[in-house]
Amino acid sequence: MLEAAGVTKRYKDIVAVDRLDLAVKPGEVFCLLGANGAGKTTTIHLFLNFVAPSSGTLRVGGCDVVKNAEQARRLAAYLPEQVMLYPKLTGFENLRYFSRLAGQRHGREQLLAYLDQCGLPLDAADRPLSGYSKGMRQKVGIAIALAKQAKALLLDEPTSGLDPQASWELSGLIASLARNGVAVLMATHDLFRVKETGTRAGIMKKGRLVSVLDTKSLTAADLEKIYVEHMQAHAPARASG
Amino acid sequence: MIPVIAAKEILEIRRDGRFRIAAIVFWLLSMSAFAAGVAHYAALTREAQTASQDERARWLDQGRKYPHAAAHYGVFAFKSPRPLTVFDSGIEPYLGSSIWLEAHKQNEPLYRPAEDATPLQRFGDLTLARLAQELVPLLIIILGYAAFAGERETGTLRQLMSLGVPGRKLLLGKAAGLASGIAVLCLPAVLLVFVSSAALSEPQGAADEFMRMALLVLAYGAYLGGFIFLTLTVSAWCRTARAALVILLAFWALSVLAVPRFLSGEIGAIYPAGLTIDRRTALETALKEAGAQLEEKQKSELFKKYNVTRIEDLPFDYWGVALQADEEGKYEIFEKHYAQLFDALARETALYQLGTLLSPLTGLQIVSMSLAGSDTSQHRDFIQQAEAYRRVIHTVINDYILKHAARNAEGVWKVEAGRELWETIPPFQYKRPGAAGVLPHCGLGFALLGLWLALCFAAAWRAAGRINPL
Repeated sequence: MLEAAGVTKRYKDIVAVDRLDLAVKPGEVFCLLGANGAGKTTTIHLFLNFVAPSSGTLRVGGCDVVKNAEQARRLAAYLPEQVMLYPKLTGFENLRYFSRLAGQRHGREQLLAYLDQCGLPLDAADRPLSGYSKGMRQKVGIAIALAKQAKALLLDEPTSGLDPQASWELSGLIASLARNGVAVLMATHDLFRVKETGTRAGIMKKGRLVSVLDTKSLTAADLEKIYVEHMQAHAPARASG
Repeated sequence: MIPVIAAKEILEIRRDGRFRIAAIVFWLLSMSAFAAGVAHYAALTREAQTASQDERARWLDQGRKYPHAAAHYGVFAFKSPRPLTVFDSGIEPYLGSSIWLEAHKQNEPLYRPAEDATPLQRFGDLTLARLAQELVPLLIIILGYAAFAGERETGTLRQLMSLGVPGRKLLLGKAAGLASGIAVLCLPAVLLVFVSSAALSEPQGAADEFMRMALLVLAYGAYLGGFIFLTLTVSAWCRTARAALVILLAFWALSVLAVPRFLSGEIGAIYPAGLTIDRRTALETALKEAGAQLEEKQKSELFKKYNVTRIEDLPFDYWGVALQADEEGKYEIFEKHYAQLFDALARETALYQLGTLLSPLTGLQIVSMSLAGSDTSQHRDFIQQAEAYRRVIHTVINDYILKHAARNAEGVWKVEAGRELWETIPPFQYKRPGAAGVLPHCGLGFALLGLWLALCFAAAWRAAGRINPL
């Protein structure tokens, strides 16, 4: 569903993504791990064609994201770290607006059902979004993905800044979407959620995908150990006291 | 997709406190401007009607006298304003609304309303046209500067683009939403102008007035539509909403405040259209020379024809012929003089319309004044109709002298006329030109406003096609 083949993205002298090869199948949750600046967000933006690749090809559901950007975007849903919606509109109005733009004509009951499915209290649906917490906005964001009936979900640090309860609820929603055949690519720092939700994890370093791990065959501790080892490899030696 | 985007934009505008405040302020200003326009129109119309009636009564009741003396006392011709001057009084306050029609002379209009205004009033004239020309573009900027740049800053643009919404559909939806918001602001004023024009128009002129209003809506639509697309273009180009606002406000200040005032001053200096001292002196000299030559020529022709050497020996009142010949001989001089004046006005208008390339407001001002009937072309039309009427008066009077003069006991030609002559001259009635006659005077402005809209749309189309959500 999500494919990257030999993708490189350069900003002048900086290589943000370096020869990336990646494939995420339907029902799979592929987690991208890495330090800040490793190229995780750029990878997500490349799949959405927010930035064009310097070389290589990216596909969503078989659609080339550069040549058929709008068609490819229609197949994917995007959930950034801060889901930005319209504060003057209610949660329901935001969901209705985005789902209509995605080509879906759901009735009010169906849209409220999506919000309910995402755990948004129903009495909040008709309140202006300006009064929502970050977790509530994330839930509306997921509801948009549900209403859009996306085949792929691109998540950029979705649990960052959420309290444990909200984080747990969001992970449950993501897992539920994956069970329904959605391919999920998630950039994150949250190793615990990777172990809980992910099916595979890729470690990115300086734009390169240096390792791909099967999360089910690893414990959380193993995952953390491998991740830290990768981060420390070739790192400058710390001055001893 | 476009109606969905437009509906959401309208919903947001409706819930925007800035819009509600702007709407209330704009409606209050519109009401004030409309009330001032109606009061001004009513005062001018009433004055013109009352003065016309008084003048007619004076003409008819002037008693018995030598007809040429009546011609010298003259008569005033009055112009009443068009109903659409309620919307745009244009340069009407700076032009005369009456002309003194006397023998031997084609006078300039008199009694400019601006002459009675205090200096401060000149800066405070508030018309609906001025609100639409200056304030509405500012409201478009305030409501639209963040359309793309603000969404980019808050991140909603990424959310939108991730859905596969094409930038150009987003542009059209936002333009429709913004246009709807502006239409809501302007609708009460537009309705007031339609209703007042319908109520104030004479039945036979109503169709023409509606045609003019429809053309006004087109012209203002092009002008404001251009501002909508320009605002969206700049918003799409700029990284931040603040940068977009600064650029747009600078453009507004230049194009709405600075350039039209600069151009009107500069063009006025290139083509001085008023009666300058030089022009007036040249006219007086030409008239004096022509008068002397005409009299000599007239006398010699008549003396030769009737084989006499003195005017007293002619078999008719010499002055009946001489006065008419004097009038007709000076027509050409006045026509040449006024043609120069009108040419200067036409060149000034054309050059000012070309200013649309620098500021769309200049073209709109000419189009708006022309359609409202408050521009120089209709002033010229009034002058020409009044002159045609003056010629009729003097032809009738001179003809009367020629036909009715008789020698008295001393052998001197004498003639007097009374009401029977004065009544043969109908009162002056200014016939307003139709909308079709106005278009040649403002066609360039119309075309350039179309170009302004097309260029702004093209720029917005290009910017929206390349919009970057990051």
